[in-house]
Amino acid sequence: MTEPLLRVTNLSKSYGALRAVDGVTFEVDRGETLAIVGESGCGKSTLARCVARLTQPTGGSVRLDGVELAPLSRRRLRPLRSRFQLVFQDPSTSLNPRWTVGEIVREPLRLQDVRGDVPGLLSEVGLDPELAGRHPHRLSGGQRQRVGIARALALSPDLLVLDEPVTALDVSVQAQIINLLLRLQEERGLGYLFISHDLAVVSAVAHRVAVMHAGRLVETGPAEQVLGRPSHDYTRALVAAVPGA
Amino acid sequence: MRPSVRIALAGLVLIALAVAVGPLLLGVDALEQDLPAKLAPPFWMEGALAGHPLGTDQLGRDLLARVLVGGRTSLLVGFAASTLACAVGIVVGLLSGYLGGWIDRLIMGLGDLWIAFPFLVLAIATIGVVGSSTPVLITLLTLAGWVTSARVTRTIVKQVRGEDYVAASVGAGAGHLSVLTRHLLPAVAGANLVMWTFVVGTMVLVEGGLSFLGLGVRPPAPSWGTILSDGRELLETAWWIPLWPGLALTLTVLLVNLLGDGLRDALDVRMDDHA
Repeated sequence: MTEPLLRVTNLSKSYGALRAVDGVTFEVDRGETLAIVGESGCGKSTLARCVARLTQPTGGSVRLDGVELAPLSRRRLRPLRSRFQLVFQDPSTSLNPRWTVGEIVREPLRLQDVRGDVPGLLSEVGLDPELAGRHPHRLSGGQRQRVGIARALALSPDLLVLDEPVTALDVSVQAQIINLLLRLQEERGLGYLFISHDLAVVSAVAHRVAVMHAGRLVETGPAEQVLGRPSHDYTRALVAAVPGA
Repeated sequence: MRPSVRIALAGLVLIALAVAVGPLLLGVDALEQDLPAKLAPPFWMEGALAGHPLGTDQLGRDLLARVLVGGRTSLLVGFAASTLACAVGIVVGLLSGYLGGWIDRLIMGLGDLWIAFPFLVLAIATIGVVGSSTPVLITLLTLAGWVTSARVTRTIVKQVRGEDYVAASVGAGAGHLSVLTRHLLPAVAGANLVMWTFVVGTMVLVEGGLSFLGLGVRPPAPSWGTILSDGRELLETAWWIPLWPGLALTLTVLLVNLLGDGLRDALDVRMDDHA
């Protein structure tokens, strides 16, 4: 049995008595998208931050290609960071307003001390390399999110943790970003951990879906099965709550 | 560079040159008393004396020479103390806001305590023990001024460190030092620069107040503050004594503020679009 790209086992994160993430287990393979769906406050974003190791999990295991990440210190984690990167929900707060697009995309390269092709990265995400000299506030929401994706790709990661990557965007722009993500996955063989509350978006990108409720995964399975023939009560309620469904 | 920044810089350089080399060119001793020539008015008034274009004070000392020489102390103390106070405030504020937790509470608690402690008592005690000199004055004023800058810095840091772009930086492998210097320090620079321009003026005035109480510059050596204080009792008859150091002080603070405004706009990229 080969090791999956990402194997999360029994992951937990507590804030005092609050169990934001409570014993979550899942896997993500190369070229595969696992969507985590659930309502606001169910612990999706905390889960994303635990996997991307922006927060230290309270318990459990996060293995990337068999390498255990959960207990590592910030310093020990540093060289491994290029393997997994995070794309944020709101591109207006995830890009330093004082920096140019070029500086933003170059930052991971500088931090990891590797060479990289910033104009190439910008073209890859569908941005004119001329935009490298602009500041984020001069870009549209969709362009900003492309910058965020280019930054996440700069270190050639294997896994992208996408925390509501299209939620803050207009519907027409959402489709463009989703198509970009699908193309990048195909070209680079990326594994996606895709956090979303929008089932329409999830059905467009996910191979498998895990439903999160109150910090736990209540149902996991292939996308068509979970969204089409949900077995858990909570999933049924979630699917039924989609307008026009 | 904006015209306002250019004007401010040029003006400040002129003032610095004037107080640095002006007294040498003038060749008049700022300390020399000439009682028969006391309280001479400035040149455009009746009774003005040749050789004293800005008039004289109650001891017949030349006011032009005194304002120029006094500017050395005032500007040195004002700029050095405000710069040091802001620098200390930035470092303390960065650490306090970034580390958070009990260190933050401790530092901010000390800051509150420090503000509540009467500065004058500290100044009197310190100068009573070690005596007064320019370095002592600068140190005292730095101690008096760092808290404001530390508070403002901490507040901004608390807000910015939670931004996603800092998380992205950490997610790409940034260490604490990198986050502090690349993201947080630039974020607090603008506010501190503006504050610095206000503090310069305040520091020059506080130095004057201390000198007035006999805690600052020792008479007969002049500073803008001491000349202002000297002229206070004679405001009705010899209003020109406080006029000149007052004008010099106002002009300096105005130019520094102009410079601060211009630099802040230059640092704040979001203003680009409206320019």
